[in-house]
Amino acid sequence: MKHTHGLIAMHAAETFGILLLSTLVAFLIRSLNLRVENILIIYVLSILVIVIETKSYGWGVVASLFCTFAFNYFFTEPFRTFVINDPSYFVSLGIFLIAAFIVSTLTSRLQSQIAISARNEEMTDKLYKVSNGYLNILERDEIIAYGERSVTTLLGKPCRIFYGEASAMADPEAAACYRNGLASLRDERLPPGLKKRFVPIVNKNVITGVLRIDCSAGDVAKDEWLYLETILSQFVLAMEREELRQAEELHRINMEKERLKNNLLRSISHDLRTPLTAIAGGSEFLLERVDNIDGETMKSLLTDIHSDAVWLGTMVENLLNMARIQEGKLLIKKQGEVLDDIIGEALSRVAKNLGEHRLSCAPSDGIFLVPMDGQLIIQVLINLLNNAIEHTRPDCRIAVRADRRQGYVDLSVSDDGGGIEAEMMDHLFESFGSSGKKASESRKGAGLGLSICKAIILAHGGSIVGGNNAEGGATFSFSLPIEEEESHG
Amino acid sequence: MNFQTSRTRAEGYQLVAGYLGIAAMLIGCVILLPLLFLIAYPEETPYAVDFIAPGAASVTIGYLLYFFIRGKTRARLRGHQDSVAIISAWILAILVSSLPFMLTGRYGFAQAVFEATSGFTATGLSIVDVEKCPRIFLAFRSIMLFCGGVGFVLVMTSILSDRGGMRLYTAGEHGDRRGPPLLKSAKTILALYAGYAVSGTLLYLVFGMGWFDALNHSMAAVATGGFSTRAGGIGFYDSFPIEIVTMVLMALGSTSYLVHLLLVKGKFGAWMRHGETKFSLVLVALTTPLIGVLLAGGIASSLPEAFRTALFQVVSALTTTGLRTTRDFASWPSSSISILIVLTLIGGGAGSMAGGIKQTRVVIVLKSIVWDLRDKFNHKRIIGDDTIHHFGLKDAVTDRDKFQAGLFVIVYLAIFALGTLAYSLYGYSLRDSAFEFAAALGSVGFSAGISGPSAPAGALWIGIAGMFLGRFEIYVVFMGFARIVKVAADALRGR
Repeated sequence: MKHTHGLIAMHAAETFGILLLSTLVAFLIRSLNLRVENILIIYVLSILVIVIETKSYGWGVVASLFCTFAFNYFFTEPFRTFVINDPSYFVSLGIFLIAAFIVSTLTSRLQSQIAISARNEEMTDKLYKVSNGYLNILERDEIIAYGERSVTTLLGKPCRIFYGEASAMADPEAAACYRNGLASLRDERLPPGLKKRFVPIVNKNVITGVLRIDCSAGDVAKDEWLYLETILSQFVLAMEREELRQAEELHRINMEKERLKNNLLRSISHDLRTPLTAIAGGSEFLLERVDNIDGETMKSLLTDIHSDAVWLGTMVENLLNMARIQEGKLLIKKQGEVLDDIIGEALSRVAKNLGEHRLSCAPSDGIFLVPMDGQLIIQVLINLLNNAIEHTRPDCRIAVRADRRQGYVDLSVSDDGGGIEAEMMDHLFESFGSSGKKASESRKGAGLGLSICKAIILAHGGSIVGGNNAEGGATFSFSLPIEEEESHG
Repeated sequence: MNFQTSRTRAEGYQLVAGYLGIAAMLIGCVILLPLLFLIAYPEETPYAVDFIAPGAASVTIGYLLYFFIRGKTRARLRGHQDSVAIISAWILAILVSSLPFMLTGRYGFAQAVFEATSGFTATGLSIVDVEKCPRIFLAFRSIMLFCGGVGFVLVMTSILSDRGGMRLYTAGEHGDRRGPPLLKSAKTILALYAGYAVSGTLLYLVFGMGWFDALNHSMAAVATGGFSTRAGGIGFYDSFPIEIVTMVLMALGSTSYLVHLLLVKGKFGAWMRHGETKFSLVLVALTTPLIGVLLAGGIASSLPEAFRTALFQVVSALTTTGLRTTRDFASWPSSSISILIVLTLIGGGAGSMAGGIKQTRVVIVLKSIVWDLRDKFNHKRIIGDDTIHHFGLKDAVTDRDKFQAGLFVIVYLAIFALGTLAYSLYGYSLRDSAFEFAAALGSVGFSAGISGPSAPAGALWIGIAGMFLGRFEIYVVFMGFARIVKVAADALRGR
């Protein structure tokens, strides 16, 4: 109990007041000619009340002495004198003191019980709130932050949690604790001069992290350890739950990937089979009739076989690139290429597919070198051109142009065909994103084209966009940086 | 979700009982205070018993009741439970304080209750013959006045600050029911008024009053209660300086506590502009000459003397004190009595120790009439600015304020009429009945002669009812009683 001057003054006033009152009542009793023993009882009562109010044995002693003297002085014969050698004097004093002692002991015990009880309540309430809070939190970092907050609130000292090996090792002191499992255990006193405590966070006998408590304001109290360990186990459970959740999530993703892969294989084999069947059939026909077939028919058949083979080649090229991209192993070897050559090469390769489409190419101003992986960019152009050919009416115009601007060169493939449907816009560059309506025409490369284009262009450090143009068709354009940058893997 | 806490909450009527316990302890201490005067007058020791018994009993019982709320968290008092608490506390004070009187054997139950009520409502009507009364009892009466007055101000400004359209709080505390913490207010209020009382005592001593009379009169004047230690009242001294000191003390006592706070802070301008200040000055200025003129040639021999008498009585009536310089009122002309009745009804400042309708309300009503007429004469599109100067601020008067003020005036006057009727049923004249009841209702110590040692018990009870109702501005009493009756009825029905 804090003994301030104000408190002492107040207790003195209370004691004095109560003694005065009881003395007055004693006078009253005497004037009413009641038996004098009643006065003793009144005095005992007043001593009890004084001890209860001041919660201190000291004042009880003071009151006992006062009552004994007062009784002797005022109420025993001869009145108004002190007679000290009367044995009953000592008896009453003794009884007063015993009464005061008993009451003060009981009262102080009761007080401390109440205090303990209130503290327990407070802690339990905090624990309850903390565990409730964990129910709503996901994400590792959030759980860690919440854990830190909850320990800080519980102990009233700033705390930090280092979770996981990497984090724990980053702080040298925490690393020591992490490695050895050595921590200031709950029974050890913190060595003087050390301001921080390190507590290992343990899950199933494995150290998963370290808790650092800033003890500069005072060490963790004995009764707080239990609560601290409870909170830590809550934290550990929450983290474990989170880890399991994430593992499950990963599982799910992998399963999804497997499924997609299987779908892909299925549609690819379907796409491969069609041109191969045509090649096999055409060549077999030729073999049978090589002697008596006319030149025109032969030429036409051979042309078909050739274009199918070229088509297959493009497709396999796309597949290979896609596989490389998915594994993250797309290597581009940049070297300066003449832009016109690249464009020309791409155009010649799609020439056979043109049919009735009219192709135009805007010449670039001047010859200049652009660092790129030639084969890949040719692939991109081929994909864009093939798309334009296949997704538009047979007689549409297709235009290719190249422009140069500050630091970049822009190439674009435009047509005046039907344009891109609204619902496709957001999914243009995704895998398998070809328009659903034309699924029957399996000569689409299973919709890989645009996603591969995007991957290639991004790997070059450029950008690609697609949209509808003013002529009522679609325009796909991409830009490549002209400056040399580090090659992207 | 809250767990069961070990610190249980005290609420509802347990809480009321606990508070009553505290009140009982305080009342007990108040009753024991007069014993201090035995130091000066040891020959009155035989009377000590009459005070010790009720005082000690009250403290003890209060202490036991306090156990109801000891160590528990206290909830707020809901609804009108605070009215119940206040009314019960005052009734308790009155009943316990009547015991010393009854224990002497000289006073009956009705008389003792009357005196105690008069004390704790700071009225001053008395059934005691002061020349024959022991000093210790005279001191007790003055102490009752002072404690009743201080307690009342505390209650009005802390607990009931937003009732009855009075708006007894400063702008900062708007809307907060509790206002400043109770204990802190209590200390300030006590210090303030004790300070006034001490200064008053000193001034009286300077002007020739004995110390005992000085102390008692000072306490009475500040508390706006009319208990005097002399049969002739202040008139006994026939000293103009003493009368002036008394008038100053009475004016202080009937000034709103919140205005005191302004004065203490030095904001004299605000005080001058305060609606009630202006109103009182106007009233005093108007009525004093009027009564003076009416008295001259009658009970007063010369014009200056008439004015002096008029001034003192006017101030005493308006501040609802009741100290007087005149022998009695029977010889006064009815015209002057009527004016005094009007002043008594108007009363003092809101949130002060005074009674009556309270000047703020009267000001609002009068101004409302003016505003109404002004609106009638003005073009329909012109909107008037209905404000009054209140505690240093220009406060807008809402329709609700006007309504409540008006309603209160009506209720007050209705009860005044009923009380007058009741008195007249005992055979007293209309003039006497009206004067007496106006005094009782307004807690003024002016008696027409009805209240005295020889009054019948019934008349005394009418007076008691008037004093009690008037002090608590009627509503609180009704609310409190209504609640008590409801609780009792529920209990009887076994709910």
